[in-house]
Amino acid sequence: MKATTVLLELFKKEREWRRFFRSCCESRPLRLRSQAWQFRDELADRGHNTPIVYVEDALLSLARDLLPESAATQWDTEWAHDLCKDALSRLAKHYAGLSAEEKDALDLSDQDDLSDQDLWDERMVAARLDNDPAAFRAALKGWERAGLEAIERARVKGGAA
Amino acid sequence: MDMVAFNMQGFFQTLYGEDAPGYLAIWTHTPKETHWVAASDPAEMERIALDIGRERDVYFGIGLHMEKLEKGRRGASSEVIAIPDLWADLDVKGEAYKANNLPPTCKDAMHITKAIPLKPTLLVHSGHGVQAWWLFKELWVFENETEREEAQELSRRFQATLKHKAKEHGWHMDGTHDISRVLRPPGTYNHKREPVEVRVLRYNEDARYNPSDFEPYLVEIPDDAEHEVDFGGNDHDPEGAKALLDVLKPQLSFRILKAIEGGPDAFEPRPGGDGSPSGADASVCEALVEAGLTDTQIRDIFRTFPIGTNGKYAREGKRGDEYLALTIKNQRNWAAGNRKKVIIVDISDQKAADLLPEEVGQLLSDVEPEQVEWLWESWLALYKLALFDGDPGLGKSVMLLDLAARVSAGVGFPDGCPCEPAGVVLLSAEDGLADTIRPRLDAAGADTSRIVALVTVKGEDGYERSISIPEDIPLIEQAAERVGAKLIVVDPFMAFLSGDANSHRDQDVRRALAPLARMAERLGAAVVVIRHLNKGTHPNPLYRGGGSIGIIGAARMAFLVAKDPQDEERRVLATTKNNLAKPPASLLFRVEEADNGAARVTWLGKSEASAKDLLATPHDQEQADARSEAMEFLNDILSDRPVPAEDVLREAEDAGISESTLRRAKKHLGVMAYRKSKPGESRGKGRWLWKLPIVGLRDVQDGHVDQDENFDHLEHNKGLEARENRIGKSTVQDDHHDLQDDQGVQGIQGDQDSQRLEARRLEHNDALEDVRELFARDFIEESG
Repeated sequence: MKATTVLLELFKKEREWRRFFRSCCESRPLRLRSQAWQFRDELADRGHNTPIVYVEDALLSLARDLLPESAATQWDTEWAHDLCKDALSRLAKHYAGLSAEEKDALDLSDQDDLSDQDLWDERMVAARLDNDPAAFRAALKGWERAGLEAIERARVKGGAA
Repeated sequence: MDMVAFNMQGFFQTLYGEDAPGYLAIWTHTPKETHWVAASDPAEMERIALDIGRERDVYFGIGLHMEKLEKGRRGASSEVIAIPDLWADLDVKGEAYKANNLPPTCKDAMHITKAIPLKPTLLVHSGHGVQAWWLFKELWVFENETEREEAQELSRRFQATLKHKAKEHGWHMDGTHDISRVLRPPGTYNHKREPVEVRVLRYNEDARYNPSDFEPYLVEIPDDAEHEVDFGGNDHDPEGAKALLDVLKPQLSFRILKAIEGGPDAFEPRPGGDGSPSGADASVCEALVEAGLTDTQIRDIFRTFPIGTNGKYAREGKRGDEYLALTIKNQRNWAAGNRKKVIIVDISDQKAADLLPEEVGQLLSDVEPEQVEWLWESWLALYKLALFDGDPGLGKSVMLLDLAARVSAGVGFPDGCPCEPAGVVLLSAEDGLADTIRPRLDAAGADTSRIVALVTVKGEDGYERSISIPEDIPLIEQAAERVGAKLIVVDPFMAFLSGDANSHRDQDVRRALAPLARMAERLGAAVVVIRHLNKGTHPNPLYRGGGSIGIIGAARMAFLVAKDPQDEERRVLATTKNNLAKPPASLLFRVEEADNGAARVTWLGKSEASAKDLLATPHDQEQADARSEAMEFLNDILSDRPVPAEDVLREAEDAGISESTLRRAKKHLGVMAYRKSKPGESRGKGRWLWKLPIVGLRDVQDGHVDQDENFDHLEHNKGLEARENRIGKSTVQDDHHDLQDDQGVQGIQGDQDSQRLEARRLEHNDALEDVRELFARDFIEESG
């Protein structure tokens, strides 16, 4: 079952959890995310083992649906920045592992290499406009993967050269 | 940063180097025993720690001491002569620590260290948490007392900065800033639960710092951010303590009283709780802190009753006050950190365990019955708060002025209910007193000598400032006393809400409304607040008022003013909430022009329309919700075929629909977005198309399809997975062929998927609606 569905079930049954969710939402997005583990543990106790990122995304999405005017529905620039920074640093680490030839082979102006990243980049922008953290995270994941694949292709090309 | 296999000797050597002065404490608390080892002899440190730590928790003192102290002493900060670093001991939630507000994992705990953008030199897994160590370039050996104090202050501020960061995450971090602090050395075992090895996780050789390197990152924490215990001298007042306990008895649980009067041996911990003397002291301190006692009063209790005289406080001798201060401090910090939080885990059980049966609840036989007193029977109760909702321009204010006029002149209410003449206070932010309010009141036949208007007040700087709620409630009370007010009107409430309050935040709204409600009780008046409706389309009137739903939650009665569905010229006043009487029948009125040119109200009798009926009826296109309009627009434009996104956006703009509203409507409808490219065109090229979810994939006749996974939030992971798989393929052309080959199958499958998704979306929306109702109910119940 999706995290959103099981969380809705939890909220239907448990007033304490509704109150807790509301108090987190009234604080700020960081508060809701930092307390996601409590919801994750509760869902796990109820037989739904859900990765923390899905719980976070579901909570933020539910905040938008259930308490649309609460503080937690604000777009969290710092969070998005941290996610992007982490993704960039991972890519940078992989890039640093390339040999000089492989780096040469990674032509950043090569449209074929970058087209996938462009696609995900567009989606990140769309997700930001839609104020949809889950879609943003998914798009960033795709963007990072596309970047890694471009690096991998460069490795193959550079190696062949 | 390197993964390392540090042995304990290597760890000590890394901290203190080869020729450190003085002595280091290796300490264990079972039994309490300190071994003093020369700081220049890491091999001996390791030998002793391993020797005594096989089956016990072992710690070492970070600060070095000039000489060996007694075996029972760990040393005090005032005796420390050198420290090697700054540090943090970060506990993590788990079996060992049940606190609700700890980081869930070690990785999460590391977020706290980001308060200081200098990498820790060492990370040590302490068994149930992480120790982070920022090593100095060289051991900081204090040249004098001032330098030692500087080191202590640096350590305090450093940890205060980390604690501040922890608090941002909603987490608690233990204070370990004392430079005589002991921590677990790697190579030993943490025996708190099942033995866990304490081990070095990371060592970053290059991360060495001067003490001054930290200065730029330290935040100034206000003095009240962390409680410092102050006993204020050494006076002891046993008689005062006895009298105090007598007063406190009704507030304290039997369990706590038993511990205070019977000592630690009589202490019964909660199930799973700490039954040791320290545990008893902590529980008693917690209860006394909760009861509001000062530090000195708590110490007096400990000095007077067996909890202290037979307990650890007395046994600690001269260090008793130090021990008690630490216990009180921990409890105060804990209370400050946790009182505001929702304790999810068995809070009700814990509370129940603290209470005797006769302490639970209030017998209704002890409650004096009171009759509700009405200003206007079934509509406006004296001593209570009432709320009037409605869109701007519908005549709420003029209708309220009509009621104010009736009260001031003692004319009966619109339904014939009698009314004694009484004063009225008007807080009006939107209408001018001279050109609007006075003419309207005159037209309504008011006795204006009984009505006082309150809009601004002279501030301390001599300039007029707006009235602010709750700060200016005393002024409102004075105004009410001036005219003997039985009716106070706040029009609109949001305009008078204190500047630093957030009208969407329940706590803020309640903070403003609660004093207003108390004012109503003190004055015996009906307080009416006016609020504008929001732009939503929710049919339940409880959700339609602007700002927090706590506003309606705080009101005992709430009403809605809206256009009559039968006649747009007429208005209906309907009940949305009435906690004190059976909701009266809705009333009709019309706003007309009086002889003096002002607006006045003519009442037209009863109406059958309820508040729900009124909100369910869109009166005209302007009043239709922006999103509904956008959804209508999308349904319309996408009904026949997919349309390029840029065309939709352009058409929407022409139709006066904003992009953000359009995107919300898109999400609500489940409109799918996908990219359509020509054969041979590379992925990432082509146009984005939007289509309604019931249109199957067979509509895509050419080019490959990138389906947008976020068309339905529930399905985004599936969509992403599919998309990622496609990215892995070797050429764009392959994608195209795949689609062409499977087109027939995908067309049917696409329809089925769409229907299935549509069904799930509707189911999800139903569940959301149910939970929304529950949230609303919670608000109302919680507000009384």
